[in-house]
Amino acid sequence: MAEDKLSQGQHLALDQLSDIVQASNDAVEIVQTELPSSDGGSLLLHLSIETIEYERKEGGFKFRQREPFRVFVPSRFPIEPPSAEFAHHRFVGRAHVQWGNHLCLYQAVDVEWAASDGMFGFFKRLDEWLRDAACNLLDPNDAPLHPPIEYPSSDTKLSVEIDTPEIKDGSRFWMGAAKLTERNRYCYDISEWTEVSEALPNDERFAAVILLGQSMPTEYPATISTLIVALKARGIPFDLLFSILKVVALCQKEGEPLYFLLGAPMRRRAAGERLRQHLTTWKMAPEHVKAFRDIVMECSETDTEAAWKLLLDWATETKTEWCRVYDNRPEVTYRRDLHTSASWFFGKTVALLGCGALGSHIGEYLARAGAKKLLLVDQSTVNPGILVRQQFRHSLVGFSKQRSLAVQLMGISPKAEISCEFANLTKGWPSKINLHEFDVIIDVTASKRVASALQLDWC
Amino acid sequence: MFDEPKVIFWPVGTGDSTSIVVQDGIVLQVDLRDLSSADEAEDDHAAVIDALVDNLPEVGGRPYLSVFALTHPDKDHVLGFEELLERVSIGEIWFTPRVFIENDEDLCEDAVVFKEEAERRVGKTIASSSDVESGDRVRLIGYDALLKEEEFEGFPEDRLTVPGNSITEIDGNDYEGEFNAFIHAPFAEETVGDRNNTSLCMQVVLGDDPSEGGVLLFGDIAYPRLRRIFDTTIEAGNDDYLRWKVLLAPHHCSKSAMYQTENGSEVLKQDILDDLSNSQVGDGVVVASSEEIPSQNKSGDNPPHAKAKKRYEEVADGGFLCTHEDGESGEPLVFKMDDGTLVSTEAAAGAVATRKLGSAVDKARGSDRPPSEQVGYGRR
Repeated sequence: MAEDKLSQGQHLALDQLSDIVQASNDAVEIVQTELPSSDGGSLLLHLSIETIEYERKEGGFKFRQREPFRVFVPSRFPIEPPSAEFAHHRFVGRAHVQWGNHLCLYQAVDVEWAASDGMFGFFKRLDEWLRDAACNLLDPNDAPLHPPIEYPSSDTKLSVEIDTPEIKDGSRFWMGAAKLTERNRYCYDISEWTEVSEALPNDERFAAVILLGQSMPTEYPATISTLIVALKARGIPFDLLFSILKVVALCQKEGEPLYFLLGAPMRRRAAGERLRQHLTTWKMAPEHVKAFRDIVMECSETDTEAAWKLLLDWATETKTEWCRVYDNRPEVTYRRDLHTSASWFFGKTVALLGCGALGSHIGEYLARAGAKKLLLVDQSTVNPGILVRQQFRHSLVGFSKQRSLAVQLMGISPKAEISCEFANLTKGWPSKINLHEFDVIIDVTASKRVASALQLDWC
Repeated sequence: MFDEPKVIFWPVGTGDSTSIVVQDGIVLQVDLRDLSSADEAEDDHAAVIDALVDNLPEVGGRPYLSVFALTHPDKDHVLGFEELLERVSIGEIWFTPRVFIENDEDLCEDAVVFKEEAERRVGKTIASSSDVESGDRVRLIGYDALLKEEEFEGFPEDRLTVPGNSITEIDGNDYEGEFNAFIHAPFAEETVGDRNNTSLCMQVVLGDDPSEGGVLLFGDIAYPRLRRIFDTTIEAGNDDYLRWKVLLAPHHCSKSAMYQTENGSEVLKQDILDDLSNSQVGDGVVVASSEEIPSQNKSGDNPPHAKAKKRYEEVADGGFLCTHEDGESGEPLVFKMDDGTLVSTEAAAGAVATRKLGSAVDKARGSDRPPSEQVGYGRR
């Protein structure tokens, strides 16, 4: 019996839905119910919902008198929320509609989904989504834009640390390269943009970059061929695309993939701000990079012919492999400590006296807060007993505290200038350190003698 | 009323009466259901024959109707024909003679009168070698094999329209560019059985471009024929003849257009709804020619069906209208030509300031607030 496959939660969902249908005066109709075919499978509900009540405003979704939906109720409901999709693709390309028909109902499920409200909460959210969609309020002016969707399929991530270059007046795009710095085996940093003329240095790694002056579809192309068509429609003919890929391919090491950053003005950080580039990265497999190189290097006739064939296959058959982009650009992000006390330390020069029970923790806060310059002063060493409460690793036992902490903080904030000083502060402020270069000096030595010595020095 | 191109759906209960005005005074009447109760003051059914008599142009001292087309001879499509014939001069009639294979006792009185009138005209057309006047003209809708039968022997080929072709001639005059009726069905082999399945089905366009959409009149066919019409027409590359601005819901908003019984269960055929959705032009409107549609039906209920109405509401960008729910009581739904396209003079119901879904949730939950969640450190 298929009904046996229904979880306790799915039974609850059906009961709650039945109550809603009965109370809806025909606004909600269960057209068909597909029970899970196996244990743990989803319950699929085909629903028809009256949408005539949602008043449409300019730019809003144009609903018909009723709209057909498919609602998937997972076996772990209500811990896991249901999901909903239109039973058609009329709204493909609209923001907050993914995969052509899936409704993006929750931004942060852990925060927004209330398991205790079950299907009632789900339909309330659906009601709000439909109302806002009809009124064109899914992306209100006082909120960030819902970013376009690309579906990452690569393990590689790129962290973009600096703002993108501006597209010159009169130009439809910016084309160039981005310098890649390996952060670890999974992630590259982008902290420099460069315009490309003839060639790029072979001892460094670059990604090809095109920043468009107009938007891309809300859902990014899934194949190279559709990507090529989309770019052509935005003023990037294939020969131009080919030329930038060629230049960057030449500086790639043998056997390495090529990364291609594509930007389109589809992001906004806050109300009133102009649109900024939304960055995506597409990865080209090493064999295709080699084909580019073989064509450019004009190897043997046979090799060149094979390379062209491979590239033709790539252009017509290959799926786009999108990488996740961690966007850390100031122009599109707010620091998460914005408006907190910690944010005061951003860009400040700080001397931290004492790197122990208090200092090792405070030092980390300062580094994370974005202090520009940190001086760490201490005169003791890491011993096994302090590992219980101080921020040092097992392997650092025996090292000086100020140096150990400096190494750790450099790992947290590599852009900060972090130095350390071995000094006995009971003898007063070290004469070789310029007191006036600091915005703030924090004494966490917990030593009354140090406090007295400094007071004597400075008074 | 009949002075400019338009399509008129009369409120005649659950049955069909559609008037198509090609130009001033040139009217094609598709089916008829004239109820005697319509003459009573409080009745909301239209007295169609009275309306035709009052509004048709007079020719030779009698009201003149250019064409009467019968989709099939069921009572809800031919009721009142005898009276119409008495009071109105009908220039030409269109019919599918195969549906008259049955015995007369299976037909209602008006259908018998129609059959006799059709046979009279067929006989006169054969005798006159097609040289007949208005009032005696007839057009057969069917296949070549029809002309080999004894009763149609000698019938001129130019008075026969084979499904898959268009008619632009009305009562001896050609209106090409202003009028095109593309005949979709009946299909050749469907000659017996349920009369509904042998309905005359057509797209009528008041203009010269079927891709701009016309009105689809599908009689009383159900899903299998509807499916076949789409498949056959698309396969023949005639997609434009499926384009619609107005769709008269087959069989008075019967769910048989999109639901089928398979293995004892009722199955929704979403494919035909998708095809209908894709073939509408702009804000297409679905019209149900029926009594008010109940909010629910019991098993075995005749059309109209609430389920079918909901499915059409999911299909039509311009909305769903019912001859007995929308418009003034007793008045027809009218679609006029505006800038080359059919436009309803009766807007489908617009948005109203209700919160039906949200209110239903509140009612079902018993509160307009979600349950409060305990937040704290594990202590009470």
